[in-house]
Amino acid sequence: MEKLINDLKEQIIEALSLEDYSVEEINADEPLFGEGLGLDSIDALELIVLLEKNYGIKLNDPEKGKEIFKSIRVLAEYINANRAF
Amino acid sequence: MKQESKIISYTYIDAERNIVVINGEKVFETENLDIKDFLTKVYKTLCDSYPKFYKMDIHCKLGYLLSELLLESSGNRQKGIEDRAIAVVNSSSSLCSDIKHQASIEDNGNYFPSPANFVYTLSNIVTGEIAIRNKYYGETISYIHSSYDSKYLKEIFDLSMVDECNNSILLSWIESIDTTAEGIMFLISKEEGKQGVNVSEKELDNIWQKLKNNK
Repeated sequence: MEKLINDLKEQIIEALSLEDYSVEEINADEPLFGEGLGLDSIDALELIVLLEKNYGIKLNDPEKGKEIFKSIRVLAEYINANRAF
Repeated sequence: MKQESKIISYTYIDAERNIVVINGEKVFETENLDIKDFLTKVYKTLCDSYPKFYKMDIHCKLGYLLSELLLESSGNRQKGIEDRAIAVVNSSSSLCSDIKHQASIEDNGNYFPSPANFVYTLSNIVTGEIAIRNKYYGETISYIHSSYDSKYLKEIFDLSMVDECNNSILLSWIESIDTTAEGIMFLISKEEGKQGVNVSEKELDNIWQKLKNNK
């Protein structure tokens, strides 16, 4: 799980151009939206693409996003349970 | 007597030549950085923190930096005003982002368009970025034109000032494609008591020619 969390941090920094952040500076339990990393709606769409591209997970229900994008740890748990590759 | 409108200040960036000029004075210079790295270096060295900068495409980064340096150095940021227009002219529109977007969708087996890139496939986005940053609620407009053209810029200025809601304008030529990213932005005002040079087609051309000839 910790490896997946670190991979996710790296992928999120790259995909969302969070160049002010390093892997060490991102807390896996912090909220992704609002506080924490302060992501916006475009970032949410980018995360959906990242899930499909890197893990073969297709999110058809936008409501599901609210649940699984709570934090990187929650996202990692969802990926572990649902990844296609 | 009606006061002439004044060019209060201007900024110029040529990312290919790695230079930043404010009101004719070279204020920043590096060597051998590519366009993206140079713009990031300018941001980190001369501008306040604004993490959204990293998400912008090259065109918006260039316009954002021109506006930040212009407003900060001239002391005329005036956040939250309604009487400042933003007009940007360029030749290649959003082609840099268009090409990236095309690359992400041309292979059916690897079809992953990036929403973060897609939002920049319009050349007027840069005017919105500047307006959002400064909470300007005036007119924003983007034009496509073949090259820097002082007559055309003066016409845009005159047209904007016909609207009595506008008292000042950020008027800009911003061009970015492949290995070129070059732009100039003027702050021009018709408010009384402002110091500057009278705006004219000739003055807009003189400034540009000096910048281009100062190798």
